Amino acid sequence: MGRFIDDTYEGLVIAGTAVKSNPLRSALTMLGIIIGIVTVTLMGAFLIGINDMFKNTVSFMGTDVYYVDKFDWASKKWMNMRNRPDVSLEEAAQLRSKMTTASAISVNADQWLIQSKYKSKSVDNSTAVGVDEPYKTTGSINIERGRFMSTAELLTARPVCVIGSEIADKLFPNEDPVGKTMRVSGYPLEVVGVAKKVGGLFGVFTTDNQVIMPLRTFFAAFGDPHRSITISVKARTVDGKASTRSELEAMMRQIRRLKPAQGNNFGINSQDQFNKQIDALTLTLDVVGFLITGLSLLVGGIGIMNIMLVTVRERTREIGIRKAIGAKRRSILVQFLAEASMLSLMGGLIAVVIAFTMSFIIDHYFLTSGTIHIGFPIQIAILGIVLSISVGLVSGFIPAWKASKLDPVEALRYE
Amino acid sequence: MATTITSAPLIRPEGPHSAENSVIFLDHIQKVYQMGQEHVFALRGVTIGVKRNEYVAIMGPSGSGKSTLMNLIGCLDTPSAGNYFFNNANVAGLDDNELAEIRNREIGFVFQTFNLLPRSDSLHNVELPLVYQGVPKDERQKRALEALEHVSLGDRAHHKPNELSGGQRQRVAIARALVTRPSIILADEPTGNLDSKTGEDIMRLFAELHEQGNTIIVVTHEEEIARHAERIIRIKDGLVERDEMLSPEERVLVTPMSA
Repeated sequence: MGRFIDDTYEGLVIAGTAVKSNPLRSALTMLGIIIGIVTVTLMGAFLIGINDMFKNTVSFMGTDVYYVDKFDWASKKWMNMRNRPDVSLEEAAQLRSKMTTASAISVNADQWLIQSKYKSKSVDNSTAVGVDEPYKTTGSINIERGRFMSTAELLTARPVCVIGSEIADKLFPNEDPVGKTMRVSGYPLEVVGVAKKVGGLFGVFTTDNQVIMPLRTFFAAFGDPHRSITISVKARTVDGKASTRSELEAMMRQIRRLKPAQGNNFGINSQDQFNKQIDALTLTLDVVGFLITGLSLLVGGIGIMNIMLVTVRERTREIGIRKAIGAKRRSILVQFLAEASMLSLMGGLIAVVIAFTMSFIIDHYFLTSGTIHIGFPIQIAILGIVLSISVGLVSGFIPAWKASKLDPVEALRYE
Repeated sequence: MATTITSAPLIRPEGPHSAENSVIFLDHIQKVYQMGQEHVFALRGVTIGVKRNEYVAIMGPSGSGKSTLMNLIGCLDTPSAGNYFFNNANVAGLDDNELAEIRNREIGFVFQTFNLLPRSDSLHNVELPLVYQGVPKDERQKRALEALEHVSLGDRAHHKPNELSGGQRQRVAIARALVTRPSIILADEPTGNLDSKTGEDIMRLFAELHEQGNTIIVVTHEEEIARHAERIIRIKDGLVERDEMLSPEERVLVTPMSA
């Protein structure tokens, strides 16, 4: 071990003098590694940003909340589910009286592509959502300004609403929406609060473009109390959420009098099922992303290998001297590996600084829409450094091996 | 750390030349090179013994096999046939790493072209064999500095080779050869790249080292240099042509450098 440290130290000292005596060559070699590590780490940061964005997209769902709906949200066979029976308020009432493992059960109804108006400004693709009182427990809305609707408001048909950040930005660009009265499909509602920006994809699952109002207000404005609704069931405990799900499924089947052979004609949705899909998707993205950026790292590695081969050739005589005075193969091998790793580690460190700066600039000046953010977590910096050392070791190995195998007599004779 | 030499088989040949009392003993050493279809004999059966504290010169014209012999003595190369006893242990069949160990501990090399590491200062050059021995840094530097002082270069420890004269470089190389306290000092044309005055200084240093008890083997083609030794072994066509002890009258005796 002491010998290994000595050999490595000797290698690093030699590498240091070699870098100093050949700055241009060293810089060019490092450039390849720098580009490689910058692309890989930036891709890593970007992929983390994408993952966060996906996770944000489903954050409107609580981790311990199940959503009974006519549709399975994560399924693509929407057409087949159209003929299912609507999920009704009556069914929600039955679940409330029967379920023992739920801490809260709420219902909400929604209507898409609603026009929201305030003075001369309007938004055409907002979603109106009616919620009942337990929604305060099952929902996961963060209020940025104002307040959420009170229990009294939720229990009655008060004309109040909480709006998503996107609607707030578009209808009230220069004023505080709280206290203003807007029109939702012509129906006047007073804004009592603005929800925090969620971000996320598509705008379908986010509160950003929603106008949330008491359920009875919703029915007053949009009619049809027999429309299909969504029932949210919050588990009594997070650990027991699996049994909550089983009970929920059993109860729904019982309420709908399904025979054992019949499949469910309702969907039970949860964040978990989305997370699984998201994980599968991000894994694919990770693999593809790193394969592509890995190519640039490969090029950098080839650069190191090339320069190390030249170095070994140039220093043949030096290797001969070292062997003559007693260097074993391993010492020579370690020496050149240390040199290659040091070159690429220096490149890696520079690259991490550059990538950090670039991620900051990209995030602040190019990703201003807020859908996706890229940061530069410490794992990415560590990844960059570990990768650079590994590239040095891998690409330095063949040249170092060649050096260690040199015949001392021939090496000493080399001019 | 135990060297591998002790575990090598001990075969002690009998006869006038014997491995007993010899630091090195070459027993019917042959070296054959394959050149295409042809076998070229560089050494055809050389038997030489060198005793402790002997001062020997090996002479021979180019092509005589002198360089091959020197590589074999220096454990830089292995013989095709024959045995080579180093401190009574046969080293003829050792592998690269075992030979490296012997070179490191038992042999101090002095080359015609000095062979110092150009980018390292004198101290580091002298330290290097100890690095490969695994000697801790403090002790290493202390011993390296002592060796440099021994060749009167204590004040040049932090000079790089290109900041030194040829004679000084060769003295750094000698310090490097001495620092491990080797069994033999093997010098290959040590004055070949030096002017005659500087060459004389180096030979005076060798004489001094010999006085102090070192075993010295100088390979040269210059009669004048060879005559500094006590004994001259002449190589021709891959064989020992003559092996003679020099009388004091025949020797070039130099007055050792006094501090």
